[in-house]
Amino acid sequence: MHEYSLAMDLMESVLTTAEDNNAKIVNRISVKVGRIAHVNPMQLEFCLKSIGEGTIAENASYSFEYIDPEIKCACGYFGKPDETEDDLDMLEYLVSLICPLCGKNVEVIGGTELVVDSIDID
Amino acid sequence: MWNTFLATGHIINIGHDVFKENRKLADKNRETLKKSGVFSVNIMGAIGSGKTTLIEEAIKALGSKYKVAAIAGDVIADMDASRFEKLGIKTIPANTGKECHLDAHIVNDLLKKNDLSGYDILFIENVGNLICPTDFDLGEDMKIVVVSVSEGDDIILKHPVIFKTSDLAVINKIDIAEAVGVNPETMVRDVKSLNDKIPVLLTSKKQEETVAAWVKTIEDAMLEKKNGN
Repeated sequence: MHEYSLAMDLMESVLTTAEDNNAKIVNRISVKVGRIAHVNPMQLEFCLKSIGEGTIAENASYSFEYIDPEIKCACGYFGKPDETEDDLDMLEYLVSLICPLCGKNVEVIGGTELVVDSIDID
Repeated sequence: MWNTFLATGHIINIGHDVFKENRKLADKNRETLKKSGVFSVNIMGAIGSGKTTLIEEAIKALGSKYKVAAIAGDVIADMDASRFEKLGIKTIPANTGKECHLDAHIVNDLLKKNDLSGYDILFIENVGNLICPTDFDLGEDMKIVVVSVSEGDDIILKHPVIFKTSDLAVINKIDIAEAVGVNPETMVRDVKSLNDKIPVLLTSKKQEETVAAWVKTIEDAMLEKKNGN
């Protein structure tokens, strides 16, 4: 719901880095989104494209990748979530996850990031 | 994942995490609040869940014993702020403009302009929303989520993250539960299914003992923090 202001921050980071590296054009922007963050990559891309208009990132393509959290339980269990879950159901799956060893609620660590990972420039 | 491209130029790694910037500022706020000796509570919940009323009740009960301040986050108006101001406490309006949540930057700015040294409790009323505030740590000591029975008994499972990450859940307006066809106990069970450690309070402004329990929870949490536990 707050993708626009997040996109503003991301684009500022993209353009500053591009300028620091004397880029003429930004070809591609790679973004990583934590699974627990309330960020919709499709909305984010729409906002980024809109903000990027009139800049050297105007025609950039985007790639998005999710960052999985880690799962920890008081009983000592430590693991990664089941990656076969559908992307859209992942948030619900993660927050309602119970420990496979003891059946209690697990602690979900990380997966809250929103990272502009890299840019491809000329 | 989706959208795959061939690299055409050279790749520059950035690694800039937007949320990390917020967390860094939240840590600064935490430090500032700790130095001031004030116990801070971030109250989150949907529009109409009763956040302002619950804070008012806590101010009325605690305002004569302790030094209380409040930050009221509203999109444009200062109505909530004026409700707190009427109770004679230090009130800091935080107009969030287009934002659907308070963030650490807004709170940082307000803490720079308002010295809270000597205050005991700071209530931070977030913007009415069960989703966005979850992503933005403010540097507070305690996160409280408020839902009213009128939001329907499926409201909790529809917004799981906020219940997973809060320190206290309040189910409010229980006096109208029957009229809206909701069983508050179902809501308690849903909260516990997401987070078995979180305490849950059932409240209604019309039931004095529930308001007293709400006030006591805040006071106990503050005293526990002050005593260094």
